[in-house]
Amino acid sequence: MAAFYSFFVVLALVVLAWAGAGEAGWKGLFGIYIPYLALLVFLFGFLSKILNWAKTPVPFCIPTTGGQQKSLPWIKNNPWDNPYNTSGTVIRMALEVLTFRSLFRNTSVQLQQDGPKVGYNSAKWLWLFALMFHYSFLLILLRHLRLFTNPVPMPILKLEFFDSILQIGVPVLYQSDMIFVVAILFLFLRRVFDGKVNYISIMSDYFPLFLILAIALSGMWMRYIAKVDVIAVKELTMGLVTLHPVIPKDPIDISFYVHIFLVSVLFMYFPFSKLMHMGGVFLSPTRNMPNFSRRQMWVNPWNDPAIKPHSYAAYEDDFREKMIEAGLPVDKKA
Amino acid sequence: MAKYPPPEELIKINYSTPPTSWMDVPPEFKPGNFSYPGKPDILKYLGLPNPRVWSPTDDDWKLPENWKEIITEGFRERLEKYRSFKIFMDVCVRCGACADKCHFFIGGGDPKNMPVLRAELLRSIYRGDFTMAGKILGRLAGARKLEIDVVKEWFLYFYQCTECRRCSLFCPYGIDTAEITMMARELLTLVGCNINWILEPAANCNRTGNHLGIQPHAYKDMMEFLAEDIETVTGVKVNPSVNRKGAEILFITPSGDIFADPGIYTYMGYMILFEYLGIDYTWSTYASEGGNFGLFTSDTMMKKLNAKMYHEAKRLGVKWILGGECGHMWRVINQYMLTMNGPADFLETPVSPITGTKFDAAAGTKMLHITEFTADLIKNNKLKLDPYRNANFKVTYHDSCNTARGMGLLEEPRYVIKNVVPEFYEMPDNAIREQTFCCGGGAGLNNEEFTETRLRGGLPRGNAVKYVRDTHGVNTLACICAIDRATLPPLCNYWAPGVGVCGVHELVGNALILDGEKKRTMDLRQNPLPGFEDEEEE
Amino acid sequence: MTVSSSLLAQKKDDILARWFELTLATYAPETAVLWKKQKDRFANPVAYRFKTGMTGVLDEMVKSSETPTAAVFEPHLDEIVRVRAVQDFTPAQAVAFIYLLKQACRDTLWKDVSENGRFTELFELESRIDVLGLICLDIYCKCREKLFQIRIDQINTQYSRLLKRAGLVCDFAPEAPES
Repeated sequence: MAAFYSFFVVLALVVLAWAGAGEAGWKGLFGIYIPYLALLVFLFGFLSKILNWAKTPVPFCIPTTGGQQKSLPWIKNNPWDNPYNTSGTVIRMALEVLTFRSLFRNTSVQLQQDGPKVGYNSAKWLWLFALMFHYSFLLILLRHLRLFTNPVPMPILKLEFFDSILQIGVPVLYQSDMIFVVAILFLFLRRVFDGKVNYISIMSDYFPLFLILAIALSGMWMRYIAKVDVIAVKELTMGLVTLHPVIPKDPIDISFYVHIFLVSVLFMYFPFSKLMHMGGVFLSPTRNMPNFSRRQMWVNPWNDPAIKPHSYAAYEDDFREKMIEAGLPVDKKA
Repeated sequence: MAKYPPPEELIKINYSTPPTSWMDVPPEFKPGNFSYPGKPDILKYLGLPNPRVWSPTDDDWKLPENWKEIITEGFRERLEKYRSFKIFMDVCVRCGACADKCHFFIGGGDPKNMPVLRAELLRSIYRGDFTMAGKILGRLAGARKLEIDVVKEWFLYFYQCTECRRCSLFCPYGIDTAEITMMARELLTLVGCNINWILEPAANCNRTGNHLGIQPHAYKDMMEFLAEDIETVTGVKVNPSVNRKGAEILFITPSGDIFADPGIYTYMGYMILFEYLGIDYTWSTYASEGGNFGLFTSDTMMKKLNAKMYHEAKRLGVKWILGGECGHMWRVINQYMLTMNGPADFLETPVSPITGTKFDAAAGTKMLHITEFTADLIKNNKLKLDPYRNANFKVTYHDSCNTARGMGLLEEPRYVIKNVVPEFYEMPDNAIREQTFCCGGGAGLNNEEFTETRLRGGLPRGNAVKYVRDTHGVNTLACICAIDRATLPPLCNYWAPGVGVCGVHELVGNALILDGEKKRTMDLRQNPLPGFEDEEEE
Repeated sequence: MTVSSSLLAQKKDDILARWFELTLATYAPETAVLWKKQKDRFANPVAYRFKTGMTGVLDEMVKSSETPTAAVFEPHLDEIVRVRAVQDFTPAQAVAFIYLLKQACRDTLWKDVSENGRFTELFELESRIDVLGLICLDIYCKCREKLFQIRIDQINTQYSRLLKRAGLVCDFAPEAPES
């Protein structure tokens, strides 16, 4: 149900852009105003969310330790899974953010009744496709910089060159596009057909998947099928970047407006959704703290010094006679 | 193909759960799946709200009239106090990586025991009350309204979580269900829904210094009793001191070990070790509890109970504190103690009086783990050991969740065990170290009425124990946790019969050769030692 | 090999697969999916124990057509019943899985039975399964008794030493050794 709703919402968005920028001819709205609005909402929303998280205190030092602590010099510490200082923590975070290490952890040795053999392990697939998804997304994003820079920096050109190194079709096919779509489809199908994931999924899980899929497909449609006028697109995008927005005189295919509208929706949706895991992962206290709270003091800003233990004196008052009788030392004689 | 008659014995039973959305499945309380609620007297003593007589099976839970307001306000307050809580409410993508990591889900199969869904129980309310999307879109955005059934559901499932953090290890964002469970339990406590097996020990600990409510004279009496048993076995009289001012070291261990089998043998192991070393140390009756059930109640309670350790160390004027074998005690010491009750500048960084090793790992809290202490002694050849006195034990080792995932104490106990027993076998990789499976009794769920659910949750651990029992003939499961020592015997009894449970220092006590001891013919449990029998008995 | 066991032997693997499937269907669907998929015996002990137990039962059923005895079948059935005894089932639900073996046999063998008139063999097979049902009942009760015993022991170990120290109970045995 949640999946259907999400699908229809995304479909409605496509139709809206199609009709709005095409039939109604609101090219300025879809090409200029909405993208600017989206960028503002994104920046403001993203920053305020991050700031909101960042200003919330971390009262306790609670890393989840995934390996041997640093204790005695002759016991080998596991500095990446149980860091005791900043550099170890930076490596732990880097591995987490860049290689999704925790998801990879799932690859356990598969012992079976009839001897060791490799079995199907869903979580490993999840790791692989999640990695494919995020990296191809990043690559595609970086490639798009060529539309927002003039002259296009060398690294971006290099990136484009390697991404299309297989030289398939005209215009040449980017491998990242393919990988991206395959990965989204995997993530989607997993949500639908994996019973347990399906059970926990809600609309805000399906909606971004459909939205991103629609963005990918509309982008590919522009490039490979509609073959939009790239010069005109760049005129528009450069206009946006230089704050002198214009709708180019040469017509741009309507699919471009659909694409840019969906991207705008994604930008606006981003700060209010689970997609904020992009920022959250850096701030997660179980990962970004070293396990050092036995070595040095971690300060809790709202620690209440008024909370005192039931004092020894009160304890002794309670049991003094019995203590004396049992021969236990007491501070105050009876 | 001819149609055969329907097998009649099948049609009358409805086997499968209909695929209803989890939000529409009401919580169901049955004997064995919940713990008894806190008694009114205990709540009053602890100053907790809404003391009353009630039962989870009642329709009316007698919540305060404005319970919704209380919970919503409590929720808001905690979101502002804990970044962890806020982030864990916001960033979950429901990837499902944690789903099959919870022992209660693995052994029982209730979908709401999947960590992600356990957190969604809270998250759905968060969305409804604190996010725009949830307020506007409601259920479409995964939000729902705070109803009485939600509170009941929280009570059922947040008291079916042992805060073992296994899910957190596998989460790409480190979302820690233990953290979420703590918050939920605090919210439940605000409206008077908590369990007696946590609150009564907490109340006892506050007043008498230990969970059991043992009074000081009785504590000393128990120690003498155990000292007599040691004399029976070893022929050596140990002389532990209690509440002694001016000692160098204060020793604190869970009180469960002073009177319950098989913890007492670990307790005897400590006494033998300290006697052997002749160190200047003392026990305390005021701080006679290492465990801290405040961790399972609220941060305030945890702080209050923990504060006794430093309070007593200061009063006695010791230099540093040595801590015994316990799981959640060490989570508190490692991750909370210094923050809550530090700085401990009246103490010194622990230095072993025997080897001179300075333990920098404890430079802040000034509190050392007994296996770190013993491992250092063994490494420096300071202990005369005869591992063959443990030859009747084939040992495997269970990592406690808290020392594994909240500290990283993995090698020290293994090093000690390997030096005091001749035969040691590890359980499979995905059941030990940081991936260790819970005993099912953590976070205050080791009560008798919860046994059935706990055994269910103990299946993953039991299964791994059974494996080493069958393949290597393992008959002993060593551990460094008092809760484990109480929970694992029934667990093994059910899932891997024939495997007993012991503490690491019980094994040390058996192996340690004391000066002037008599020929040992039995172990600390007073069972005959194979190969060491008296000749006339043969 | 006698008659009914030969009937079983023909399609043992199919029956096993079907039986397993039918039994997992007694759990919530999202749970069943997971238990079917995760193959690691330590990460997924339930499925592992079920598979092991079921394979054992079928192997023994094929070996002989005698009336099943507890001595032979208990170890195999125990793998399954012990798990279900603590899984929130009613007693009937907990042991009903054994009758699902009947259904699995009928589902798998019906074609052969009806075409070749091997009804006697099927009846004989089903009667043997009924005996298995009785053995399961015994095991279930043993497991539950053990559960209650564990609860009693738990209370005992918690308080016995305190009572002893308090002098509230007297002890005639000279320090009985613990086990």
